[in-house]
Amino acid sequence: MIGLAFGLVAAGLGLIWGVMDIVNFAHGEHMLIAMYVTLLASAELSVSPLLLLPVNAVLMFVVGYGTYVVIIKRTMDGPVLGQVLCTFGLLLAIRYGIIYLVGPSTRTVSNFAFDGSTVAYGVSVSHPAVLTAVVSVVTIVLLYLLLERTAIGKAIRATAQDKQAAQVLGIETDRIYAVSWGIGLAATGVAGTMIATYFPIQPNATPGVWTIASFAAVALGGLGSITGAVIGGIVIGLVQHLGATLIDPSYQQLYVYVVLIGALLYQREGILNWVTDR
Amino acid sequence: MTEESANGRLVSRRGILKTTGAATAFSLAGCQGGSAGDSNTFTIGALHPLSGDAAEMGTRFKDVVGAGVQAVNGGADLSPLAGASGEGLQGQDGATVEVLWRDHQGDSDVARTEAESLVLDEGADMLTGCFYSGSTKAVSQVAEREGVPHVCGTAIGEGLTERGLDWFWQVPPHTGIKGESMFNFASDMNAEYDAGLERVAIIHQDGTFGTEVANSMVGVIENSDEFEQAPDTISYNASSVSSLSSQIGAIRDADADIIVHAANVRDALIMLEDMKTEDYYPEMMLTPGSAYLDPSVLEESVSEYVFSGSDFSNDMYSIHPPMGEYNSYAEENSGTPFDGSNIYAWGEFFTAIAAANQADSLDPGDLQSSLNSLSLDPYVSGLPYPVEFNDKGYNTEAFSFVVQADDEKLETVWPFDQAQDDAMTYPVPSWSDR
Amino acid sequence: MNIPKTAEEARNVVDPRSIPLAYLIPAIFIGALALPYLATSYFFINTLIYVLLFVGLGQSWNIIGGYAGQISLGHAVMFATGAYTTSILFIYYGITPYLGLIVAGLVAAAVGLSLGALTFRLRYHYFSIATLAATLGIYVIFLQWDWIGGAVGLEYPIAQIGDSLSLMFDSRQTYFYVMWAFALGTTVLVYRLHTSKLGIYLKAIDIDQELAENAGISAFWYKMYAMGLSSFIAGIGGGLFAQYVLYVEPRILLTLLRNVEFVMIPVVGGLGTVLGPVVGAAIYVFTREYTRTLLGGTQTGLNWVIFGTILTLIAMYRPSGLIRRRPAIGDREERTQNSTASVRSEADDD
Repeated sequence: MIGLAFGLVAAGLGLIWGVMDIVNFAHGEHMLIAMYVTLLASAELSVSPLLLLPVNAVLMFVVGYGTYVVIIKRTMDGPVLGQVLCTFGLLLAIRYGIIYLVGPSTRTVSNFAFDGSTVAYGVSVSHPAVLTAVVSVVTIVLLYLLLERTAIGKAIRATAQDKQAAQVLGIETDRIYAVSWGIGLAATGVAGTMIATYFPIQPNATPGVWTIASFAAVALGGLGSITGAVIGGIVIGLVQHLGATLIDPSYQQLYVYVVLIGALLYQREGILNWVTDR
Repeated sequence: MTEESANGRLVSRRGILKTTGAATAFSLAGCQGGSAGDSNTFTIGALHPLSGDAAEMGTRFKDVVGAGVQAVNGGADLSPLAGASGEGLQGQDGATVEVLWRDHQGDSDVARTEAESLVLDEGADMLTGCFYSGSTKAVSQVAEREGVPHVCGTAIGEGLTERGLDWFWQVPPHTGIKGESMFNFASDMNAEYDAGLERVAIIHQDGTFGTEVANSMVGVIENSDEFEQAPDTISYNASSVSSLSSQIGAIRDADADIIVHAANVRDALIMLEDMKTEDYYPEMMLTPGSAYLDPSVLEESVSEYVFSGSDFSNDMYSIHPPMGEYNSYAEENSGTPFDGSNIYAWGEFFTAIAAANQADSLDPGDLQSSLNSLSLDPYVSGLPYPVEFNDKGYNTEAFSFVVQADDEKLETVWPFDQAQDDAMTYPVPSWSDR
Repeated sequence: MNIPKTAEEARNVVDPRSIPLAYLIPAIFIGALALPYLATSYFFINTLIYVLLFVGLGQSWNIIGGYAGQISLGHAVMFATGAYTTSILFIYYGITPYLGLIVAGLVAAAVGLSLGALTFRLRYHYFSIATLAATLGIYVIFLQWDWIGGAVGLEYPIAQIGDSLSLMFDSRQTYFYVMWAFALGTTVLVYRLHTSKLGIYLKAIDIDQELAENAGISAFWYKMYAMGLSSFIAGIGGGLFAQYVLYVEPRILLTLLRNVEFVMIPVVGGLGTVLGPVVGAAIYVFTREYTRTLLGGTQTGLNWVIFGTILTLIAMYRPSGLIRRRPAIGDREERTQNSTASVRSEADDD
């Protein structure tokens, strides 16, 4: 079930990656922002996380858009190294910024309206997890519709396929990039909001898990494809669980890393072709 | 001005000058006049994690020790607490105590650097710390090389005193002793309440703390006829784990009676939440403390009824009244009361104070002799047990008791004669009954 | 822009206005010898020692990242391998680190080459992700591996400090000279690389791998060569680190941060330049040590915030670091166009 959440987060990453070939190393950290908003709002203001869903979505959209305009844009013309380093720098700045401002302690959302679990068909299921899955599915569908049906969506896909052609067609690629960042991060924000309801969040540990998992999911599922990323996410969730259950629980994270490397290698044909086509 | 050579390499003269200038500036900034070496200041270098995973704990250490410093320098009347009966260290002509805090960030390399800086640049008379075994080892190496005492009250690794060092002392009970307490408790439960506890699942985070604890527990179980391990020890990576349900599944399948979990705060919570989701609870959840004694875990209702080996409980004040006074003092002066972790820091500090107070002088050699011959009654060191080191530097008088979490508080449940009536809840109610 | 076709030409194509590296390098290094005498605190010497070590490590990454353009985020693996090899040989088997270091370098090179063999088919950030995943994965493995001490790590027997073959010294000054030698050695190596045929080929691969391949340069084997060299150095650096710190555990060898350090130093100082890592190491280590001491403890995490921000700013404005070089033709805009066309347009800019 956690796979769906992975899928959503991966979709966000995949969007940015697919459209502009930038890997956002700070993906997990951006998600952290949304998580912390949720945590703090629910702790201090007793606002239900569900209410925060749209809030975080909008917030993260703005953050994404802003990040692109202010920061990423400047690295677009430079070497790839610049982009890698840039997002890495963001990783550090955001993660430790949060630690500085809020402290490194582990936090949870308490008193969530949907706390608790039921046993259905012999499998026990936690309510927040189900809710997260539902929200993830809904969001994924929304994303899909956005990309397939709306004008902006089509513009985004056009730019992803061929930047020059898109420019010729009069699409402001720059704005599209910014929007992609916005949407990508908004998706992540939604995921983060829900995840915060049933996972303890720790600024050092939590982002790493999600960043790597979403990388693996996107690598598995194919870049630029939402469905691919989602499927990838589900697979990763399964891999983690099965690997721990069947092989050796002590190496749980290793399986994800192996899958990630494997996916990247296996895909190389596709990657190389895709890179040279651009 | 920048130069450009035709194949594209730029060497900037200005750049070089800037770097040299900066380096010089830094080297001058590096001039630190240490205040120690003043004959009337006793300087302790305290190395603890003040950032990173254990930062909250480190901060609480600092609070509580800060109160301790005030108690000594200001002459708070907290007898029989060492050094707290007159202004300054009475045994050293009223010398003032100062504690220099350094953050080792959980990194042994940083710990080493900071320890050396404290000793060589700041002239610290004694070192304390460091919570993590790795950092503790690194710092004790420094202490050994430089001939400065290192009093460790906050790290509980078992092998720390086995290394044959002359300048290292360990105050609290190590993980082996803690393990013994925990399983003596379990054994007593079997004898007294017919609990039928036999199969033990050990699950731990794969860092230094978790691994050491697990090794100690395995050792205790192997030496016991009553308990056996089932399933084999499970470890996981604390930083990257997001769910422990697979591991719980394995434990459940092995039909374990007791779960021993050595964890950090985050994974402790994950474990509890996942157990709740899976609607699984063993006969007894028995932990070596640490995360399970931490306020962030205690405030979550899932942590109720967990048993832990501990040197602290909220109701210990009735059995150990002086601890209650210390606690009030600490809370008034720093805003932070005692808890399962910072009590170690308190004990660490006051052991150091006691040794300094009784030494012939503040020279390293005299401090060393003082520590080697130290014999403190309970409460003098700020801890509920005596302090007396064997020739390896280990405090053989240290002990742990067992507590149970109840409504965000820790209640002593073992030894049975130290427990309040009705303190223990056993059998532990299942999830649906809570 | 004329890409020099022989090493001869490369060496001769030097703008007379610039200070030839051949003079600059000795000047800096001989000057540095005086630094221990200026040191007024232990802390300063310690920082200098780290600076020198990181110069070496930075040069190591520079070879593969600066010259060959492969952004490896997994160099910590070779570093850790070197550290563990040296320490295990010494602690378990009593083999002197003077030998141990060489073995460490070789083992690290082997590891690096395997990693390269596996991942060099990937390019740009895919390579980076793969190396990152590799280092995190190996971190997990090392934590579980009891023979090397697992999470607990290995301690050096400090009783043997000062013994003649132990490469452990009481005097910080001696360590300073050891590290100095390492830094000098690696810098000279990179200098030779810079003007050698290998260096040119690596640059060519960096600029445009397809073009290079078409010109007959086997990208894979040259990258491997670079990786081997780079890993060898990283391994030795790891061993030296272990000999200084006297304690090895995965936590100080294999974290994300160590990987980032490898990258940050050459990048901040100047990627693909000979003196870049020198500048970068100085800036990085000094900033790290002094911000931690001054700010640490009270301002939790602030120093990392500063670093992250610096890194981002550098990436935004000067991605090739402080000592600048001409933007490579591998840049984004050019990549989307025909590569020959871009070569021509670059030449037109001259």
